[in-house]
Amino acid sequence: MTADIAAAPEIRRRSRKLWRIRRSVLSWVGIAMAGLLILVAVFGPLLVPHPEAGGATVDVAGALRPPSAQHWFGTDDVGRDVFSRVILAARVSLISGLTVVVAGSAIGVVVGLVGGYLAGGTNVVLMRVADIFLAVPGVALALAFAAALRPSLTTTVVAITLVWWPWMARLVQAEVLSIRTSAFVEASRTYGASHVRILFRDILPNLTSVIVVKASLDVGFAVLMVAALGFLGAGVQPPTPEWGSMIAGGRAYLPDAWWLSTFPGLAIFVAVLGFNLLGDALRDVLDVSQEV
Amino acid sequence: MTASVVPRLRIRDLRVSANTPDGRVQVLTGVDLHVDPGEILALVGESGCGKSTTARAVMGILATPPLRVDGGAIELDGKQLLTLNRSGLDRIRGKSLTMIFQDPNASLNPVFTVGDQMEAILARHAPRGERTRLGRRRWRRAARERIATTLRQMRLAEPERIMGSYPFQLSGGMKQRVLIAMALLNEPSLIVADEPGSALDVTVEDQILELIEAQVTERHLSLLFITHNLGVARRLAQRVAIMYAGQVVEVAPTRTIFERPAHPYTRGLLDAIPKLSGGTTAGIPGRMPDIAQRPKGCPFHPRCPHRMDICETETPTPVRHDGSLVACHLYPGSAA
Amino acid sequence: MTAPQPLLEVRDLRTYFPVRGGVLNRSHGQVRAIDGVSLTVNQGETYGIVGESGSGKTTLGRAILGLAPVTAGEIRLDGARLPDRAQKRTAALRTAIQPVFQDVSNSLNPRRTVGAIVADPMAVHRVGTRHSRRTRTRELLELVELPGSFAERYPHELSGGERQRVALARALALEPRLIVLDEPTSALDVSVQAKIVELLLSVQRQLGLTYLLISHDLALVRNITDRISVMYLGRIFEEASVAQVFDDPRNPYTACLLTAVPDVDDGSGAVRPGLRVLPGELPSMRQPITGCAFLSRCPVRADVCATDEPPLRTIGTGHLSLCHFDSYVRDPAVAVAERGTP
Repeated sequence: MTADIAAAPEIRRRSRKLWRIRRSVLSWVGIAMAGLLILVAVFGPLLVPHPEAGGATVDVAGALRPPSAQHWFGTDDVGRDVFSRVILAARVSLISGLTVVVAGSAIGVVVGLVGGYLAGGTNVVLMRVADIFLAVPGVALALAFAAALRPSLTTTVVAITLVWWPWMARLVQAEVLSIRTSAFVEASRTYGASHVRILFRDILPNLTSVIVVKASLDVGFAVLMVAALGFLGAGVQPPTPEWGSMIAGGRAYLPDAWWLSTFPGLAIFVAVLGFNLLGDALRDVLDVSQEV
Repeated sequence: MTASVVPRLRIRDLRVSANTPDGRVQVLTGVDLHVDPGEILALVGESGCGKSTTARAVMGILATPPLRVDGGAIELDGKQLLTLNRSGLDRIRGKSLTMIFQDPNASLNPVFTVGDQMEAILARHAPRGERTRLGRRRWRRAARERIATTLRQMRLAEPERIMGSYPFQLSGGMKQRVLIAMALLNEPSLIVADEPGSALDVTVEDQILELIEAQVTERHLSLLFITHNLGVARRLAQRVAIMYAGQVVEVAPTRTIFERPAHPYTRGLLDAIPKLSGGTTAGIPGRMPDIAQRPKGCPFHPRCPHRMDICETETPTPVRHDGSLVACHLYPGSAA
Repeated sequence: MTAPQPLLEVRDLRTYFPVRGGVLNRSHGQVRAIDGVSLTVNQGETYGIVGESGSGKTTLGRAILGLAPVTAGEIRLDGARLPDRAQKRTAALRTAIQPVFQDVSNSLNPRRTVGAIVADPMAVHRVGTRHSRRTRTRELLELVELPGSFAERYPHELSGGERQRVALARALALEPRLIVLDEPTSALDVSVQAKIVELLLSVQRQLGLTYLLISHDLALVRNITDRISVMYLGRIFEEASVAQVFDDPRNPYTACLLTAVPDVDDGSGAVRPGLRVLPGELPSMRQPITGCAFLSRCPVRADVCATDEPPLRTIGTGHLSLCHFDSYVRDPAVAVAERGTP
């Protein structure tokens, strides 16, 4: 009876996923960079050599020292250890980047799910709303918030989230539109699954890889935006260390005390690049193995 | 039989492999085929047997990074195709060797009119200097005449309207006729057809097959016809070749294949197909092996009702039996 | 012997889809996907619906399943009228009709295990406990000749034939009365098709199921159905038992279909009318059609076919043909005599 189902091929799919990562050196570089950043953000403040650098301590005598054995990245204009500040700022950047992406995904996924599933007029309306948010320039919005309320990390994060969620919404909506016509969704309808059940059991699980890839690719974008706004003074306020504001603070001392701006800049570069590469790596693994 | 006739197409021991996550695997393990002038050979098999790969190898359109020709020869009218460089191949393809693809929707460029696309084909292979000699306008007029004539031969009324149409304005059947016309424009000696009509309704496919039959006879063409449908093969072809897991297991004249199939796989296939006259069908146990896990010896042996010990270790070589060329240990002389 | 009880009745079903276009997406015309279809399927039989693309056969199957809207007419199961949308039907009615679709790659949720997929209908209807559902899942897998260990596998680890077996197991989970099979084998290889067909027949015998088989494959339909309707442009052009359709086809369209099918046999075993459709375009489904829908391609059309809609003629017991004439074979004398017939 079951003899004709011959020994089915061994499940080799799992090993295929890893093979795909192995092939790309860049993927591993990305994973390493992103991983490093996360470690630094989490544990950095505990291991930092000069924890007081995160505050408002002033040491005029030790100000503007170039990189040395005691101060790997030199000191800034009030004598704080730049290395420590860069490490401490990592936490701020990472948290804000992740918050933007998580909050933006929450909004975007819900809007996309509803719009894509209901389709028709509802979808048109929702997508036009998304378009309106897309049309708003994020930087200008953040600056406006900063002017109206007190500039802070919160206003920055809110502003960027408001500008970013439509991208996720559109992506999710497009995927949902295509998945909802699948035969397995129709089968669920025929045996009486409720709309809610179909959304959560049938459609959403098939969206996770798309969402994860998009989100991880865009963490880099979020980090960059936070830094840009910090540079403009609309974000985190001193003395809290933040890469963008550190770059701004160091501008006056260029090119002599180059280390004030350069190292925070490099940190941003590493973070953004790392998450972009991580997003690529995740896409290689997730999307392709989804293809049956 | 026709020993003195030089085959138009000859494939000798064609071996193709592919680079996969599991290493290099054999896709074609030694394909031997030939098509005589004016003949239709149907290459039949289920998905994964290698028939499309064979067709692509003949046309020189194998996806060569993952795939690679490991050995063998393909000759068109005596000329070696595998050793040709890019420009040599370009000169032949579209002129003496053309292809009709399966899906008319995928094979026509949606942003150009049919007339423009067909004109491009003529222009590609126009004799050197002919266009400048005649002058652009005159050449185009002559080309359009020729295209219209060919379209009329495809039993398409109003060829001018079709030439001015975009692919989306034409029905599936019309598009398939356009594809056939494109393949015939430069008067090829061999056409490779990859399941044309399988994407069409049966009544439309019937007309397309009739058309192909007529054109092949009129123009004395050779046709390598790839299909998974044995009924179509029976209708069109003079000879049928059955492929399984990367090799040809039986080749025979059409009547022989259908009335006295020699290879157990052929017999299994014929038993599995429902017939208009009724009767029961029976499947073949097991399934087509993954090319990465091709069984040793005869690739069909795990599913074969006549399996013997030797089938598990030695790949059978093709031998003649009752009009067929069959690769099976049941027949004397197959053991290497 | 009592007459077989009709399980499914379709009465003058019509489904028209609005065609939208223009800047404001306004409706300007309709596609008449189903244009007046009536049929009856008896308990325990296999009813085939045959047609080419655009015939409306898939839409008909979907309407019966509750996946397509109905513009007019009714569908009855065991005499009870069915609301046209699955979501509006009662649980009992919904579970009575289940599908097996053509699209093998898409009919199972790629993110769930086979076991979860097969058990899902039971979970939705809260049948039994988790444990009992698991047991029943294994039983169902056994019924479709798959090893119980497949319950832990994911669809992408299965072959096409195995996936169709899972789809069948899922369809059987809630003990349906009628299974609508929409081209269940056309995406599969030939050698696998035969095995799925064997399985379908065996399961039908064991469980006393009724099948509605939608297919373009005449040979397949010949082999497993009891009665057939041939559809064209949303209408049934011929309805008869299998023997009647294949041994004594009457409608010109049926005759053309039978001619066109490339058969594996040499043609001596089956009726091959030798009739071919005229080359030509399908009439637009948007305009209401005057006369016969098959007019533009009918090789034996007569003047009356252009002006009057053909009646549904009774050829014999249970043999109906939508035509002005009794047969596509036109004896000139007979044709003249019939020409005046309303």
